[in-house]
Amino acid sequence: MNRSVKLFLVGLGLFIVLPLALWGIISLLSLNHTGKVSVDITVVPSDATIQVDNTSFTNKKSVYLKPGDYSVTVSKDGFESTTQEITVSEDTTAHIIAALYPVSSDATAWYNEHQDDYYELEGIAGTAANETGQEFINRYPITGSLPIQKATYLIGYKKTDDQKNIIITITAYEGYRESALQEIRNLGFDPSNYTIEFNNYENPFNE
Amino acid sequence: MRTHSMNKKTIITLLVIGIVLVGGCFGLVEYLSYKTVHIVFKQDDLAITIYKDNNKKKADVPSSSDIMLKKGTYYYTPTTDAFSHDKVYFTINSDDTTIEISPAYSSARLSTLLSQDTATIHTILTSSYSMMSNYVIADETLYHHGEWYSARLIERVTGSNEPDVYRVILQKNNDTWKIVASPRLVISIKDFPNIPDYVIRQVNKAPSTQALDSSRAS
Repeated sequence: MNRSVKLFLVGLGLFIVLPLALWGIISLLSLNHTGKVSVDITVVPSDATIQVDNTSFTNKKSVYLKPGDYSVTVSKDGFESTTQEITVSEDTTAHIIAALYPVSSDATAWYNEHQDDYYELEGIAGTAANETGQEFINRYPITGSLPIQKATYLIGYKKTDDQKNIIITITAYEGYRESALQEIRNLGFDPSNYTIEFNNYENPFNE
Repeated sequence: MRTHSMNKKTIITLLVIGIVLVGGCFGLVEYLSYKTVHIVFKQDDLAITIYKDNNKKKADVPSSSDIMLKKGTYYYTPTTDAFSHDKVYFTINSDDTTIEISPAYSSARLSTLLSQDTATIHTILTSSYSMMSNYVIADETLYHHGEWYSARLIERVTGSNEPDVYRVILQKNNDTWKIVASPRLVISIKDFPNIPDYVIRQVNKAPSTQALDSSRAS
């Protein structure tokens, strides 16, 4: 094989085959994550087992999950396990953050030697909570103005059972329910857009 | 000399042909940019004027007819007094379009209709709710073609007490009124997807001063 043919083949390999191979690998990876959302994982100890529904893994910094509700259990021998519910959606950032505390003497020794890991996790948890809170306010702007407490009424909110929406709650003295609604209007929000529950109140027209 | 003259003639001819071709292309593009719009009036005694969204008048349409409009966003306003003069926007896309013209009635016309139906509606409310005597029916409004009705029921109070305000919506079907949103402090759009948003938003607004005064005076 002469030199020019060899050079041609090397060039072909470098400029065509290699990019194609890279493209294939990237496509394959993205295919696996299609419709899934990245969930950051921070657990202490970092080699704890994380079980998301029926799948377990260790030593991962993130996991791709389809939008939905998940039960997450973090466990390790010698430490108290913890279970948390997380909601994964395309428009909010979900985190798995857990600190396991020791129940055995070996685990206690490890805990004493790794205090910094726990402090660091607290910082990450605080940042994540702020992010989640801001995302919630962006999604439901009225919550950024609540609660409002006045002498005659209290306006708050709660999440619906499926955690996907909010209900505005109003606790008001008789005759001041309209004032509470006016407060919502004054904030620039239309009460028509919300489900509003009045506490300690019975609609007289529901005979 | 002759060759030079020929060249000049050829160039002029080619130029003329070029201009004609370019002009023809522009003309064709302009012609093709117009779409036939079928204007169909769904109401009697109606006439409209169509404007481009930049407020430039495009056509007066006295009855159902076909007109030519370019692609884009337009609005119409009724020109007869029986209908609301609010702008109604519509868009012309690439395909020929049918625009059904069915604007809301004017306030005066709705007011007349309301006065004709008030007694019937009040009877429905008082027969449906025994405690209606404790409330003043206020801020009554008819919408669209008079088929939607909303009112605020203001609790009768004395002294400096503040009244509770309830909202109710009725719909007229086959000449019969029916309560579609029973009285409540707020009507949620989510709970009543079959009621037009603008009706719910209107009734959920604050009661008029006149309505609040009437709950104290009576």
